[in-house]
Amino acid sequence: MQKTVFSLGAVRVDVALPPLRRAGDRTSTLHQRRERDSSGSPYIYTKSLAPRRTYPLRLVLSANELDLLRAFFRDTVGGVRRAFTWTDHQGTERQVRLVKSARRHQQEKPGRFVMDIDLEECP
Amino acid sequence: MGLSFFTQAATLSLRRAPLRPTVTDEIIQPEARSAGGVRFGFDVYAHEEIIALNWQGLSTAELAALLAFVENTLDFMGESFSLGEPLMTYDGHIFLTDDAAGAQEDFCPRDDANYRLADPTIAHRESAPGRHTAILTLMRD
Repeated sequence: MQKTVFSLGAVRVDVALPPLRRAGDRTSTLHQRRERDSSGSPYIYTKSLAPRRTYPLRLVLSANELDLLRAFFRDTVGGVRRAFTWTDHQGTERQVRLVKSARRHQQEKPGRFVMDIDLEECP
Repeated sequence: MGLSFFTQAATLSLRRAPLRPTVTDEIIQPEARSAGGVRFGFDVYAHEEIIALNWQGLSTAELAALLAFVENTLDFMGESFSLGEPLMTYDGHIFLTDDAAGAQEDFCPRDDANYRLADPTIAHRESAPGRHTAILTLMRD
């Protein structure tokens, strides 16, 4: 049975249930600025050729998975400090970072929690 | 079933418990993005756990008591407090309390630590005549 796996070095956290927002929900952004020149025409600065891909995930977790994942993001990954490997339920591996330093979770029902995270694929 | 706030000077008890709280793990650390779009995250400076408590259906009197307690006793973020309710036990993730029928139900995903308001704001509105919603954000002291 496939799982969602987060890992960095020897530390690995398995999540049994598939996320509610799946890996197919993705945004792509190119890091560039739009200004206007002195005649008022648009002028686009392209500073990066690699689109930034962001995956919003809503994970469904047991209490044990919640504990392990909170510790993984806080202590092993260090918030946005380090990149880590995310293997989705389809078995696709990606090197990613957290987009934000904050992660929110809520208890959905006894023993079941949901956590929202945004992952950014490393170029 | 309800929620009590305890300080050294005073106690506020609300008959109505908030909804299941939302917890945010917040890491304080600098981060930046280069002009080329490469992200840099620096070492973790501190952690904070922000807990949002959301009450629905508070009576006008209970809302007034909550506002007065936060403004006058807590001085907003000025004083820490603990949370509690009789017969409450902690199972490592959530508080458990007995409802009126004696059944055990979950309450709040934290231990009995000291808390402080994380934001000197109470958001509240009248959702129906005489009924109010209110949101408080707390952090562990």
